[in-house]
Amino acid sequence: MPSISSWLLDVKPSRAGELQINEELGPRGRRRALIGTAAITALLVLGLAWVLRRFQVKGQFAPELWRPFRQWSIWKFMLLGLGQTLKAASVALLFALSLGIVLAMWRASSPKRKKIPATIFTEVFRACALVLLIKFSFFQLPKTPGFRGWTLSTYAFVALVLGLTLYYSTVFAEVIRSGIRSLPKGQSEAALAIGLTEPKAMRLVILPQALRRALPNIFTQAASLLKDTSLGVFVTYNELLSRAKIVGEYGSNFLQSFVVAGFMYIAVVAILTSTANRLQKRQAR
Amino acid sequence: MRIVLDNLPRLLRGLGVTLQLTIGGFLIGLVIGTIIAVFRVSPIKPLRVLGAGYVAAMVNSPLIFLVFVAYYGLPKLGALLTNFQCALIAVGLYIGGYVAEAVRSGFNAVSNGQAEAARAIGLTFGQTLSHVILPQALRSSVGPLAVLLNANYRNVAVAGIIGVSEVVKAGSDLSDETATQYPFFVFSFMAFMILGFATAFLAGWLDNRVAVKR
Repeated sequence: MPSISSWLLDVKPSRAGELQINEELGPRGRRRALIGTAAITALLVLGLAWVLRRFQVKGQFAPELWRPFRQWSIWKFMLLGLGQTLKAASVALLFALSLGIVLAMWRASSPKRKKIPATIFTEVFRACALVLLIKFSFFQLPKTPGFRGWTLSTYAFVALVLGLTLYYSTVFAEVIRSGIRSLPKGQSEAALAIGLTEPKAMRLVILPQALRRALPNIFTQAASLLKDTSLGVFVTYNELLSRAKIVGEYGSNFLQSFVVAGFMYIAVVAILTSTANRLQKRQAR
Repeated sequence: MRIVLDNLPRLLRGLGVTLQLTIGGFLIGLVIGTIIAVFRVSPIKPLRVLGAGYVAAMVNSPLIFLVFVAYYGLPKLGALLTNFQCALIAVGLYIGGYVAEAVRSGFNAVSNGQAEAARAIGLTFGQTLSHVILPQALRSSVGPLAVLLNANYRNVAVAGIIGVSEVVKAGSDLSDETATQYPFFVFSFMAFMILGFATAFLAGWLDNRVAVKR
């Protein structure tokens, strides 16, 4: 029967590629670990109690601060914000990924008229602060009143998507290029030897394999893109974070509304990061 | 060009704030991240859970969100901090999550034989870690850590939202005041380029110096 200590210790068999510092502990080690576990648990509980006490002392558990979150209208307001976040993220992801693939292909190709512009574009926009790009896009957009019937929020959306696209296309380009470079040289040589032209070899042989290799990193960067849609706050795009701030200002309950927004962010971003980790593990095998 | 020179002191002050925030935050993150990485391999389960939870929370939430929590949330709990301190805390905690991941991948670059040998000569977990594993793991994570530091120069620009006048904020304030944008845009772009090259150069040198020759 598994004892409680072995359950607590949770000694796993060594996995490939992962360092195992502990081995199956002996009786003394197990006793020590058990004492350690108890001590640490106590410490953690104390720490948590201290934080909760802080909340209590400062009246942050007061029902009226949490009451807004019993109203559907507040939830709806924030969920719509989450929708705006996802909208900007998916549009930007689509553009950035397509542009990134083209940039990576051009940079890996031999004609200079493709290689040089792609290299310059990638190196320049990769070195920019994303905040700067978004703000700058916002101010560069045409200001004619009633331009295509755009409202302020359209401008904000376009600026955010433009900034994210410029920056993340270079990020994706680098990720895919490292996928291309990780392929054995024989792949492109064989493709050229059977008579494919260089662009065709890239499109049919190299790119599909490179994309597959780059997939975990693409997911990691997509998660990062999703997080960075919160920079829309700089250009008044009404996404989740700015809405959480509005809710906090309205009810003077910043902590409470940020707790809710934080859970929403972690829930959606974790889907992407955990997919990335899973793919990474699968490829490591 | 002229306009940049006229406002150079303010821009340089902004650059100074960027550097303080980046390097200060990175050092905080380095300490937190190393501790969290050790937690994640320790034989004590609550520590492992804490480590994993910390990393998940930091890696999955936006930096600007943490900045907002520090700026709007902490005062509600009675912490009176300057804007800069709020930004520094947020950046430090955020980077800590990423450093933990980098150091953990450094752990995995150490071969299992090292840990086995350390155990065989009777070292305890703490000794194995501090004398055998960590030195090697930290050395092999110089590259990833430098990438983090490099991204950090640009990431700290989000502190501008709470009025911390780092280089991007200083530049955009100036462009509002003078109604010119390109020169300031180019200035901060050049600043990031130079910082990026300098960091990459130093990291390359350090990596070469401390590399574990295998």
